[in-house]
Amino acid sequence: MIAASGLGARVGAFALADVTFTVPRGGYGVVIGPAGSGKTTLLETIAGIVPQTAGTLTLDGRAAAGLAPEQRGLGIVYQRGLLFPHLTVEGNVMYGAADASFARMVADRLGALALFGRRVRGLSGGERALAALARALAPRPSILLLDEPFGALDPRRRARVRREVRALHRELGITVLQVTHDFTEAGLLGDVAILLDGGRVLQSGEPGAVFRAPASPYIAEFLGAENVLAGEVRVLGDAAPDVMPGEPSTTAGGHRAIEFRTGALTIHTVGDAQAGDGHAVIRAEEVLLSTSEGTSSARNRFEGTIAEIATLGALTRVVVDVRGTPLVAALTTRSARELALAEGQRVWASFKAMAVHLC
Amino acid sequence: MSGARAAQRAASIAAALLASLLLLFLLAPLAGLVAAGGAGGASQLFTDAELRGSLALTALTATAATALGILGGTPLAWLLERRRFPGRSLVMALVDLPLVVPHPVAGIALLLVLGRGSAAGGALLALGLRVVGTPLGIVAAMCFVSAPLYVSAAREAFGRVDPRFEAVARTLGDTPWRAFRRVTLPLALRGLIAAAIVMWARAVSEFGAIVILAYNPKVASVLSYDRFTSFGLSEALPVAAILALLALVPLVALRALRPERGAEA
Amino acid sequence: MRPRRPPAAPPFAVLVLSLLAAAPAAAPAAAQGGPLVVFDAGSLARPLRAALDSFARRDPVTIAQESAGSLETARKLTELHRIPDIIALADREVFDRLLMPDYVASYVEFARNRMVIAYTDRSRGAATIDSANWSTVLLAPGTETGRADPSTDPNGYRTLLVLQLAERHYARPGLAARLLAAMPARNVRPNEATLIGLLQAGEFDYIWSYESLAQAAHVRYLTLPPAIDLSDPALADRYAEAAVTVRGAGGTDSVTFRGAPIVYAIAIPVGAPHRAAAERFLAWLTSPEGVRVLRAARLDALEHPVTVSARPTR
Repeated sequence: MIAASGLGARVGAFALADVTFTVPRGGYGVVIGPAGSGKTTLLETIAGIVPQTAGTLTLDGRAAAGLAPEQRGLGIVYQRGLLFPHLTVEGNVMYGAADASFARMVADRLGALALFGRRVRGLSGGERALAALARALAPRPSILLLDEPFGALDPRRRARVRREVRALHRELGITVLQVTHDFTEAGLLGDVAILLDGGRVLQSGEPGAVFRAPASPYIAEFLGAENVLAGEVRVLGDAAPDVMPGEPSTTAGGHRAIEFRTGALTIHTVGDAQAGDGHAVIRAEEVLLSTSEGTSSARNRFEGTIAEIATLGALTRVVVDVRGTPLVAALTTRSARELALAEGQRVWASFKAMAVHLC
Repeated sequence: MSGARAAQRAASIAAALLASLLLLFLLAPLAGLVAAGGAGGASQLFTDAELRGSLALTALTATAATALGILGGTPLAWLLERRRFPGRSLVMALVDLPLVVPHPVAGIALLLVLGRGSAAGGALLALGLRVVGTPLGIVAAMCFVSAPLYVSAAREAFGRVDPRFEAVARTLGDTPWRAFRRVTLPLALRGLIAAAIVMWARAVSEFGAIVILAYNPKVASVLSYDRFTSFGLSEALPVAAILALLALVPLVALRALRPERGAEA
Repeated sequence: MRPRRPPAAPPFAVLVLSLLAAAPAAAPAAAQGGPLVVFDAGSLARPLRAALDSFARRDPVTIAQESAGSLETARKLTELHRIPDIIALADREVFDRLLMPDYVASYVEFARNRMVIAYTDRSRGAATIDSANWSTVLLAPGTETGRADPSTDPNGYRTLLVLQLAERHYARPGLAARLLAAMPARNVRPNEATLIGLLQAGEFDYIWSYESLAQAAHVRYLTLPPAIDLSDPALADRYAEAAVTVRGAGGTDSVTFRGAPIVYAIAIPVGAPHRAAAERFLAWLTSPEGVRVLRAARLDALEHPVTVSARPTR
């Protein structure tokens, strides 16, 4: 378990400040942030390599402040592996291992056993990553810190190693904290997502919740939400067309019907936002495209013209110009082809009221 | 296009020329020395007991001085490189200071703290250890003028080892000392050996400070001066030549040691 | 014929030209009054400096002065082939032995000196030492006395001669050996300047030195009976009764020195670059005014300098 509360640390001119989050025992936390946001510094502070200057840090119930790195029972994997150049792969993997057979098992599952006799100098980036992972896991730590460990691996191996790491994580009950700048990876792996920027935590929580409900437009863009629209929130009272006469306009959860005006568009959503200026966030994946108007349950339906189509493998990104406001939709390339989408074409873009997040 | 290429060629030629000039400048006097006195020196090794004794004394004291320098200088270099503490820059400058002091002045300065009138010197005398006029004094003089070179170069050697290696070793369960011994030291070893060579060589060549503290027994540098003054160049050359030839052996041997090149992240 | 240029002309030419330009800077222009190069023994440094400065005020010359041990100075001529305009040594013997007749045709004995025992207020026994009890003080346990190396400095073998003369003078057999034993190899230094330094640093209680040096360094010193301190030319025969053998060249030969009055000698070597200026200086130095200047600088200049021409003395 990793519990940080108001944690602060300093490396040169850079400072981590007021970092608060919890990764439960046996949980998988993911730290997301741009370059220079302090992700590596955070890992090093948890490891005890960088001394903490403020706040508290608790590891598996023990206060970390009095513990030297070698007493914290954790393993760390740096971005480029940082294997000891003067030892072979075996020497590296076995470095801190008390149980040799366990170490070999872990190495085997990660694909590092085959590299054992090799010198570090001749290894490829991917091979280094495997060896570094095996080295960190061999001493059977209770906490594992990973700094973008999969970057050097090719996509196929990356998937396989990710699987093994998750499997080992579950089998051994290790608490993992992984740094990544890949949002999809965060969504796939993590129980807890921690957004870090400028040394501060912007938001933390379950990845899906964070993605769907970013606390600010900055975070939304940060997380890759393609549609972040600035505008005005109007809370609709009983006169709203959404509400049946005679029925309360507020739902049981305190959510009310809301109208969001941005540019020439009016977007309908339900929420507990206050009236005034704000932002609406709609993830591109939530936007549906249709070549005919039709009817559906989607509350928001707009007609527009395709301004741009970009295909990247199996995914296609379509920008639709709706009365001056661009709306981005993400579809499978197959769907895009089936619809025979082309630039300049007239389409209908729709999304549910529930898909709109206000912040 | 050919203008840029011609400029590059000219630059390469100039660089090669300057390199050869310096190499020539360094080697020609030594080659002349060995040519003039080498044979004489080699034969004198068998006949001249004073020469043999002097060479042995030089090797012994220089090695002892280097050992002391390594013992104290390695932790100092590591501290200066790895730890930030108030006054660090000042300490680094102070460690370099013995290098700029004229050698006889260094000898006098050492006298003031190791001579019979000083606290340390008096204490050593009480223990039966005399510094002035003994090999102990020679070692002190050698160490004083050459240890700064070791510390400086050792600091560089540690600087070239990524501190994150030590950090990783710590997380794998090593205490700071174990991490230093198993990771930092092997990776810095090449640089440390080079630093020790420089220190040893400097110790062997010292004259001015040694003369103040301990003229007798005579190390090779003092002996060659003595022979030059008493009898002339013909007597001094063999001493200098044989010293240069014999010193070549450890220098070449140590440079041939090739521990693993360190610090590839 | 068209001149040919070497391929990498510009950088190479600059290099060569700068080397050529640097060379003359080392030996500044040999124009009128060009530098008088003076090699002298350490104990003559200050008196000669004073004399040269005084001379330069009436006869403008630039001066380049180098001081070293007497033997080392002589070696500069015989081994390194560096010929100065003036050479002045603490020992006429070195002229006779090494420099005559090839390098020096004749020399002038122009000043004398004496062996003294120099000490400081902090020296052990400083309060009680005098010209009668000095040997007892020097032999006291824990007392450190320094002397010069006989091979490199005439001061060194002169000390040994004084010890022998003392033994004879005080009629105490074995005194010389005991005094020598009290000054073991570790108390030997190559020249007087180092000895003075160690005396002032408190490492030595007493050192054997020249009177001129002790005065110049402003240290206290003890004058010894003329019978033993090599100061009086009239006692030359008495001095000659003492003899010291010093290791010779090649480790096999040996050289024997007999006691003789300490006489400083000065000469213009063969092939001196500025003979005219050197001769003017020498003439002035041996004149009454020169003698006065030297004595003011604490050198015991002879009233009537003696010229010695080349002839074998061994």
